[in-house]
Amino acid sequence: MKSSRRESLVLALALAGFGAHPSAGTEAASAWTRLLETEWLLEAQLRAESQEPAMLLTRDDAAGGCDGVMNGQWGFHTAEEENPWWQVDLGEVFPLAQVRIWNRSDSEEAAKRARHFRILISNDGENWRQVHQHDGILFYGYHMPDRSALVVKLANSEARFVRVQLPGKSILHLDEVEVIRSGQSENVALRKPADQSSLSPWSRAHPRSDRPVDWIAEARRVTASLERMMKPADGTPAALSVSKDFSRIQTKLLTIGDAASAQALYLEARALQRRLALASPLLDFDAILFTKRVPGSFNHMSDQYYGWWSRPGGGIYLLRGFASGDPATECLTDASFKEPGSFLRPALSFDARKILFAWCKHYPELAKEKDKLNKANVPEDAFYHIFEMNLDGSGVRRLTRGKYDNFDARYLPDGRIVFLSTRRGQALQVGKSSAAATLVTNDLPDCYVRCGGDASRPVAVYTLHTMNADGGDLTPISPFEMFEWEPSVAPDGTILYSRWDYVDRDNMPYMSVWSINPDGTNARLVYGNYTQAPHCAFEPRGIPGSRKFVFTASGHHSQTMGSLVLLDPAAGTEGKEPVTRLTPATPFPEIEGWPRAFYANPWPLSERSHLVSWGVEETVREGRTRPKNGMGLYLFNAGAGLELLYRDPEISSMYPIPVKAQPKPPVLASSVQWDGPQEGRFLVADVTRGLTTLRPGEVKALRIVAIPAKTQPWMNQPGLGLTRDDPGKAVLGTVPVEADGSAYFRAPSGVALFFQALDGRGLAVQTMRSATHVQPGQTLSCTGCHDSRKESPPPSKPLLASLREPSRITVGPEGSWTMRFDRLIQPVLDAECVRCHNPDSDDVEAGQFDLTPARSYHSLTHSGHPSLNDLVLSAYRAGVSAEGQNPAMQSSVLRLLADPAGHFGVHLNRASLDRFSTWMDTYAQRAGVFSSVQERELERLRLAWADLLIEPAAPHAAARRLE
Amino acid sequence: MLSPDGRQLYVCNRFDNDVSVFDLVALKEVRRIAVLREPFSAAVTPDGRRLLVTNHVHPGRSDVDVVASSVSVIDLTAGAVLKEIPLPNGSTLLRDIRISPDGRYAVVAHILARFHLPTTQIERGWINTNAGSIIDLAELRLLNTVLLDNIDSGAATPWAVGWSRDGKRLLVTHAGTHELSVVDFPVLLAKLAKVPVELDPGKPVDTTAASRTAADVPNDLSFLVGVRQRVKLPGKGPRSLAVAGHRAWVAHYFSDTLNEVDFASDPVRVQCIPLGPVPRMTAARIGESHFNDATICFQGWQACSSCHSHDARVDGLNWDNLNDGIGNPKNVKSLLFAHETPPSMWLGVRSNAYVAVRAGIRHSLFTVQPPEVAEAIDTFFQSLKPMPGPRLVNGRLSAAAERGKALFFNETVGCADCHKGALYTDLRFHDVGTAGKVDQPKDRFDTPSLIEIWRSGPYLHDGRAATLRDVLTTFQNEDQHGATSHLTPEQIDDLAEFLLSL
Repeated sequence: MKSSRRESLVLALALAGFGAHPSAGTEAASAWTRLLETEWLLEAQLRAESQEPAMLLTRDDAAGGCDGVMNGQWGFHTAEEENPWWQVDLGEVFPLAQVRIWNRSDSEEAAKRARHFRILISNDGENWRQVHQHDGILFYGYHMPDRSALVVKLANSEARFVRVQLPGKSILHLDEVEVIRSGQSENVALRKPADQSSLSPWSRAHPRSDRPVDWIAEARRVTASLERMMKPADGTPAALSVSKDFSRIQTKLLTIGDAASAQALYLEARALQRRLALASPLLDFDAILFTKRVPGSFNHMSDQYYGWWSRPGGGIYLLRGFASGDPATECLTDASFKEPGSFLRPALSFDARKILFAWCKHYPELAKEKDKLNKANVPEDAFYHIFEMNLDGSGVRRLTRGKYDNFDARYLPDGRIVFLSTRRGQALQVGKSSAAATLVTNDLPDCYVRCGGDASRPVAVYTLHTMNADGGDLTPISPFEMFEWEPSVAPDGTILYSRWDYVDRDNMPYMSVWSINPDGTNARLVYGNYTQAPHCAFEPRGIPGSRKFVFTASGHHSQTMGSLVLLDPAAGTEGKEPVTRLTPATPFPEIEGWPRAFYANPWPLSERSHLVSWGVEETVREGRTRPKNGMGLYLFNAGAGLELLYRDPEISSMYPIPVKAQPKPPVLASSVQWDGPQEGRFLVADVTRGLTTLRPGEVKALRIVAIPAKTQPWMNQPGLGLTRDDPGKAVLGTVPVEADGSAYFRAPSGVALFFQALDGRGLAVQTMRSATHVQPGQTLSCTGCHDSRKESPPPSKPLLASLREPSRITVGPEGSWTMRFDRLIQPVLDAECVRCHNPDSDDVEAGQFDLTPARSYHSLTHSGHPSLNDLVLSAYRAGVSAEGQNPAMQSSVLRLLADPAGHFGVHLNRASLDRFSTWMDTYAQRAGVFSSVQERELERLRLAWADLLIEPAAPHAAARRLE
Repeated sequence: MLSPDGRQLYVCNRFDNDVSVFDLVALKEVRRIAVLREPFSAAVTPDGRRLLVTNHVHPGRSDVDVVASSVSVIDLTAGAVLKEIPLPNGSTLLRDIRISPDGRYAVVAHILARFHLPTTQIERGWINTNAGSIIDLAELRLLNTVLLDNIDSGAATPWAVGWSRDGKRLLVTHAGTHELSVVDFPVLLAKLAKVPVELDPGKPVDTTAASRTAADVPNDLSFLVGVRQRVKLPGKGPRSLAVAGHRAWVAHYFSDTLNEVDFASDPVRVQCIPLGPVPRMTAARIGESHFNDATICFQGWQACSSCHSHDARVDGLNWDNLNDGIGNPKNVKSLLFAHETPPSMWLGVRSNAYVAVRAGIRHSLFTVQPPEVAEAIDTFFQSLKPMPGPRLVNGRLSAAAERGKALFFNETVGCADCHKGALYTDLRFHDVGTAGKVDQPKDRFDTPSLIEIWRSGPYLHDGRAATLRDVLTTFQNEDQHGATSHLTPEQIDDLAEFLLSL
């Protein structure tokens, strides 16, 4: 158990004591050698921890109960037996404040088993004292409805061992057990040695920090990898120079006996491997551009890039002589940036002469500022801004302005620059004029993530923008209302990036790889729209000489760091098929486990060879603070391992980029008319393509829903609906679908939209969990709506929809633009239902189903089996749309209302039924806007877009009919 | 193509639309067998009984739902076409056909055009895809068609086809992206056999699968994943291929280089065999190479030649470009004399060919190229020479064509009122009564040149006329397109004969 700590400690000592790299002195050289050896030993240790053991022990399964992975499934699983137990050894006696139990939440049946658990504690692991007996109330964990652990408070308890036990014959299987020490918030049980009473067929091996290294196997592994590395180099001077050493290692391997000599041989082989790796022809550059920085103080995929969480220190550096054994660094920014601040992810121009990077000034008190919403409290230079300089550090110029974070700038082949910025703001229609407004007013409000935050932690959305080389002609190329991350320019000239699609679904796992043309057209999925592991496919980047990409599989509640993945976009867009794990010993963070060591910032030299940053860090999760110096620069070779290039004992070194000219991808032609009418067109060849139950002709219309961005940072305030993080929604209306399934319609540009396919009854048969948009003057075509992403459009006849003018959008029922229950549904209830369904009704039974304004929303959403609430939440959890699984089609309430026989003499007309189906299929939200200002702005746009719209012949006709 | 016994030679006469059979013993042509249009490549079965011939372009009209070229199967014993095997809708610019060593399969390289869709974008094979069709020779039917592209990268202009001697490797060159596909053919066959013809109603549908049934395979951009290696070739324009043992030799049309490919090694090894000093390319030839180069297209899906064929003429299809709105597809025009006959496009939406070439690069290749590329393509077009038509007799008009010529210039018939001058066009717009329902405007169609009209069919702006006879009769609307209603059928034939001789 303590071996992990010890190794980290040894590494830390090595780093602190021996410095980062050798100089002329032999002492320094041997310190360097010792540092390398320390790292090689650590690598082997980490591999052992994550290795599948030859024989499964109770300890291997029990480790899953305190591995930091919460996912609603079982972390460990005993057999069915009398009084099954699980326990953790905290290593020393602690005063204990809480035990937090995450029960399984994947099955009610399974969750029930834990209802009578007991907690016992002990100082010696033999004498136990019961400190808690649960009261039999069912509880869950990770998933709704709880979404949190059951907290058991302990008073005056001191113990080294904590045990959870069930009375009688049962099975114990929990997701996770956390132990909180008095006066602290950290989970002291994390990765501590655990054990349990028995194994079951559902037991699995989890990473275990006390699993010993098999040094003989390690020596064999490195020797095999050496052999592979020597093969392509056959006959080269590099290979000849090591062949004698290699033969010696091979000979020794034959006679190897004890672990100590195996460990020595392993180190010897690693030294040889290093020589070979550094002689690789792929290292055809003399210098590496990199960044020294202290990771931000907030561990979250979104918050990691805000200036207010920055920590000071570092700069943009060049590393020279990294392969020579005598590396030297040169800081490019110390002359121009004298104030404390933080540097972020640089980019090198295609000709390797200029550097883009982001910098913010560090204000020590800013992180604690309670009201960051008021931008008067945040100086402009506390936001990250984009700078450019020459490769020698001269000619520094700032390219962005305003109280917005601007970062991750990349050179585009046409000389423009793509970058991320929070300046998208709250605009409902994003375009050049909304971007220009951020130059006129330097502190416009941001838009925010839907699932958490407050004034002290506003989680402002950043999205893709482009600008000229001098910072002019600011263009927001994406109107997406949620985060976009870490763009790079793909070899085909498109922009690869990651984005967070959580329209009507769980906010946790859907950070996928997309690509978009540099003019903001044709955003398309590359990988992982509904793949749940990894959470985040971040830092996607093209690989020289390959059609594949590399990305960093990262966790939601951490910064960008994790496991490296090779992605073959030719193999598909979801699941395991298109991906190869380059670092299989490192799990996908959070969803699969919390590794101890993390990879980040891969710069591919080939499919299997990358410059990376890497480090052992234990405090990468939200709520903790990462070390200042966790990460170093390495050459990573898949299957072989890491070769240290540079490490600063004081501060993390990240974002390595070879200093050499790179081929310039093609410049893509653009037909966007930015200054023309702010609208485009969609053409769908056959909306039923990919559907299995409906034929062309059976889908009659598409519903078009705009997604207004969130305008304040608090979660569920106001509560728009049932899921606590519902998107804003404005139903723009419907457009017709022709008999051949084709649709052709106009739509406002720069607005994030999603569509629903409606059958003849107006019920949604399919819905989107993603968003799309058009740019001014663009026609975007699609094969279908739920077609395979691997398919080319099938031959058809000329599309009927293309033989006519593009449709205008027929505005939906009153109260759907913007979504308002009180205007969409309540008028129908008032007219038809409330006379019986009110608390004072003569019909007592009917009166209990209260449809008066005060109670109607709750009554309608929580009645019936399944209730709308059930339907919405299960669809929300499922994450991927299934045909026929939309709320209206499944709703018992709608079935009742639509019954031709009527309901106690009430027959709803089609217009009223449309109101219900519109409401239910857009997830039965109470509201669709986050503020009255936003609502007014949407009403204004309705007038501004009049030419795109067909308003109901007599406005509010349906409402009047009801009166 | 030699017969297996070496006694006969078969020659595709591309512009005569027939195949010659030569007796190599008697050293004379013994027979001509008519096929459909522009026979491009032929392969003989190992038993010597059948000859399969690819028709480069389809012979019919192009404004119908199904437009596809076919493979003509000739019964060599009978000396006649036994059967046409139509390829999937949109199959065009058929190039090589080769038969597997065991005589069971033939594979044809061709373009599979998605011509029914407006050309709004190109990714995911929205415009042209690049395919190989597999013909089952025992049943003389199309087994299926597989796409050679990947989801995010086209493999334009599949051209030469070859087989390893054991039949386990199928090789296809991509003349547009300068690549070689090496396909594990037995694995491909097994994969094809696994795809059901129809969905089993009892089984759950994998909604993420691109090939749920056999009919989906020609649209599946991932079908060859794990079945084929795509090998980058050092050279430009790999148009021919010879295979011996586990090696292939690929000749490059533009770079004048030869590659030796060891396709048995993993990864496939390619060597460039130097052929002496590389000749300097003329400006026109540089233009021709750009015209055929798909690496200047976004993701390599197509080259200019994907619609105009490698010699800058036609693919026989209609395309719905955005330059004149959506929903009004136009037949592809030959580029011969494009610069001499402004304006360009059927509605004259480009003022001249210089503008059109540059617009074509932007809107059909979806990239921005340096000015030299368009300039070289201009030069290439300007260097194109009309080919003497097959209807000429010893280079002169036939008697029928002479009679037709008189009619053409007859004032009553009036063809020459508009089709005048050396290139047979007045360079103006006219309403010849051909506007269709979807055309806008309805009265302004550019007058095309008639030079080489014998090879640019189908005819009229929307390709509704498969033959010139149809233009002059079926689609003549109240004599608005010259006055032909008073002509006898023989006179119509004479007039058409003249036109086909230009």
